[in-house]
Formats: sequence, C-alpha cells, structure tokens
Amino acid sequence: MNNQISNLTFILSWSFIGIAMMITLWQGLKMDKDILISAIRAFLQLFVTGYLLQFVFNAESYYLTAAVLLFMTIVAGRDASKRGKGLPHAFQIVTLSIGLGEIVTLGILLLIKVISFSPSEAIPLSGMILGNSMIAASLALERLKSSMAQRKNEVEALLALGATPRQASSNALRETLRAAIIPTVDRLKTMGIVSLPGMMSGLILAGQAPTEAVKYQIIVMFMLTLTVSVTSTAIGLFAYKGYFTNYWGLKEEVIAVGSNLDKAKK
Amino acid sequence: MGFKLDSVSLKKQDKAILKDINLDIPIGSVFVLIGPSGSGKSSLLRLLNRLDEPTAGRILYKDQPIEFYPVQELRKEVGMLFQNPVMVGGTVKDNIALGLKLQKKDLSYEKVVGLLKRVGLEKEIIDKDASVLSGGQKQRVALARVLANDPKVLLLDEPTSALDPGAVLQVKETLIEQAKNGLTLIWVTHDMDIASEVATNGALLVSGKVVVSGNQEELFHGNNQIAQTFFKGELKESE
Repeated sequence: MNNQISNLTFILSWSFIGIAMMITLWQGLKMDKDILISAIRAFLQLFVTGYLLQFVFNAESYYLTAAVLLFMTIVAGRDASKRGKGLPHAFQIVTLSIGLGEIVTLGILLLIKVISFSPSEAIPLSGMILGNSMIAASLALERLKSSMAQRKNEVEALLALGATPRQASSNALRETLRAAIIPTVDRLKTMGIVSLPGMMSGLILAGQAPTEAVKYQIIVMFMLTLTVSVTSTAIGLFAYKGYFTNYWGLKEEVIAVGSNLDKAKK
Repeated sequence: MGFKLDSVSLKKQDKAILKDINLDIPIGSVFVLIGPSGSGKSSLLRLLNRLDEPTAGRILYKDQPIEFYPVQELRKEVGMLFQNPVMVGGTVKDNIALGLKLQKKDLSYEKVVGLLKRVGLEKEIIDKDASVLSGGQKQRVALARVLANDPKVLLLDEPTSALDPGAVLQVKETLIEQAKNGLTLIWVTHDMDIASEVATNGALLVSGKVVVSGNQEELFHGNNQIAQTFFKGELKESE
C-alpha cells in the first residue's frame, strides 16, 4: 500500500462508480443518475473540506479551530434536529446537547493529554465525536417521541395522581436513554472481532503498527461511549419539558406530530 | 359550591369542543355528564383537574379560581379515574402506594389493606403482579390508588365502559360506596342505566353545549325537546 495516491490511480478509482452504475442499469433500478450525482457531490464536498482543513491546519490558530468546531456543532445540530419535528425549540435543544457531548469528551481528551488543542488533532476527533453524537441525538428524539405517544395514558394517569412532568415521563425517559446508548455498547462488545473500526483501519493503512492503532481505537471507543451518554441524557432532560404545558398537562399537538403510532393509524 | 363553570369554552386546533358552558356542581353530589359521543363530556371533565385549560371563561373550585390552587394539590384533592386503568410495573401494593411514593412518602401495609377493602378487593392480592389482574380488578386498584391521595372529588371518565358486564356492576357499586362516604363524584358515562341510577345531579351535553342541567328530576324528566330526543335514543352523534 502506497501512502501517496497517484493522480492516475485516483482517476481510475471512478471505475468503482462506473461499475456500480452499470449494475443498477442492468438490473433496471434507474439509480445510475442518482449514483453519479451523489458521487460527484461527495467528491466535491470532500475536496473542498480537504483544502479547507489544510488551510486551517496551516493557520495553527486556536480561534480558527474553535470557530470550525462551533460551525461543525451547529451543522450537526441542524441536521439531527430534523427528527424533532413538532417539538418546541428542537434545534436549540439538539445543538446544545450535541455541544455538551463534544465539550465534555474533548475536554477529557485534552485533560488526559490524548491530544492537544491543535487543529490537526481536535478537528478530526471532533468529527467522530459529533458524528456519533448526532446519531445518538436522532435516536433519542425518535424514541422519546414514540415512547411519549405510546405511554400517553400512563403519563396522564401519573399527572392526575399529582406527579410532576419529570416523574410522569420517567419511564419514557429511561426508554429513550437505553435506545440511544445500546448501539454504542453493543458495538463495544464486538469491537475487533466482527469489525475493524474505521480509525484503526486508517491508522494501519497509514503505516502505524496494529498494536499502536489499537490503543487509539480503544480510546476512541471509550470516548464515544461517553459522548453518546452525555448527548442522549441531555436530549432527554431538555426535550421532555416540551411535551408539557406550564400547568403540567400534556401538549397533545406535540404528542401527535410525527409519532409513529400516529402515522400508523393514518 | 364544589365546581362552578362560568362561560367556559374550549377550542382545539380551531375546532370548538366546548361552547359557553355554565354549570354548578354541588359538593357531595353524584353529578353525571351525559350526551352523545363527541359531545365534549370527557373534554369538560379534563378541565376540572387542569389536564386541559379552557380557552375562554373561568372555573371556580370551592369559590376560588382553579388556578389559585397549586396544580399538584388540586390533582390530589380532585382525583381522576380513566376509562382504561394503567398499571405501572410491580405489585398491587406498588400501584396503590404510587401517589404517595411520588411525594417521597410511604404507605403502610395496613393502609393498603384498608384501601383494598374499601374498593372491595381481597387483601390476598396485595403482592400480586398488577399486570395480570382482570379489567375490573385493575380498575378497582386504580381507584384505590386515587383514594390513597385522600381526594374530596372523583372525576370518572367512563370508568366502566371498557369492562365486562360483571365487572361493571362491581366497579359501579364500589364507586357508589365512595359517594356514600361523602366524596363528590363527577361521572362521565354514555350508559343511561348507570346515569339514571347513580345521579343526584347532572348535565346533558350536545355538540359542546349544555342542553339541560340540574337535579335528577330536571335532568331526566324535564320537557326539553333535545333532551327527550336524546333519551329516546334518537340522537346518536354530535354534529
């Protein structure tokens, strides 16, 4: 494996896309255009990102690094909050929760000196943190929505008994956190047996000894477990309030919007 | 006066559910809310413990605006029983002690036994998994759970309509017992036999409006045309 990819090799890599398009044409899937456009998009986006990162890495500025991280967090928040349609302040809640996951995780990484706050270290790791944070946020929002809809009668029965909104939604919140955290925990269990994770593969391809690559991968998996826990807990604790009126009734319009049960009925 | 509703209206998604409701619900009464399905009976009931808020008008409880009471206190004093009893995980005792547990208090074994007796259940079921009880038993456990809060008023949202005939009789009798103990019952039902049997007072709602209200005689034997059509069973659905 060469560490430098020649231009010719790079151009020939489009043959992957070409063959994939031919297969879909042959199978009559009408996806060839879609594949081509998506591939060109990915190509352009990654190239622009590559050049931007090169610029930021060369600048070596704390402020610029922090600004890039903030921008990444906001984009992640915007994307994940689409799952919270109908929930009041979904964008703010999701961005704040993802931001918390990022700050806590990056903070510990800096504190125990896994990385320094240099752009070439903080930005790629934050990419991983935010990517996982986003998935956890989406899972948490989806599950909170379906749990609250499913448990509507229970929540109201508890409210009528004198429960606070927090008490009335405690079962729904527990389900939400479990749903968001379980995939990460499951991934921990099979790590290194079923899959060689991306970061480790990348390091090995780049010439690192597998024993060194493993250390990085372990730290990354541990850190992502924390990220996912922080983000989904924050989502649950910030978002459940959106389901209740200020006199502790259920907001039916929030329960109804986009819940799976509701869709199933229609 | 127990509850007094003063020009109360409720809209949901621009649809008028209740229109200009004026009602007096005396303390100690068994007040039935009857009417065709979709007439707003349950919606009205839900305003009385603030699960919903009216969009216009005001509700007084014991001569004070309902907002005057902290909502938690109001809901303990004005308990509610739903159509489908929800058992939370755990035993019968866990369920009955739930209201007090929410306030970080314990309910003694003796008190749970007392409550079981009050709702006509054997004390042997106290440690049984609540989820395996029959519908009628669940509804009575739910009632015991509400009674543990020591309420003065019970809001009953069709508490017997999801039960089989035998259980209907038991739950109905258990509820009438509570009225004899001095509780005010506000009872939503579409079952005219139950309504005429238990009511001391009541109101007939049609399309979100009160058509007739008053004591049992005024409710069931007045000469209101719409009411008579309804009691003959010729008025089924609200427009």
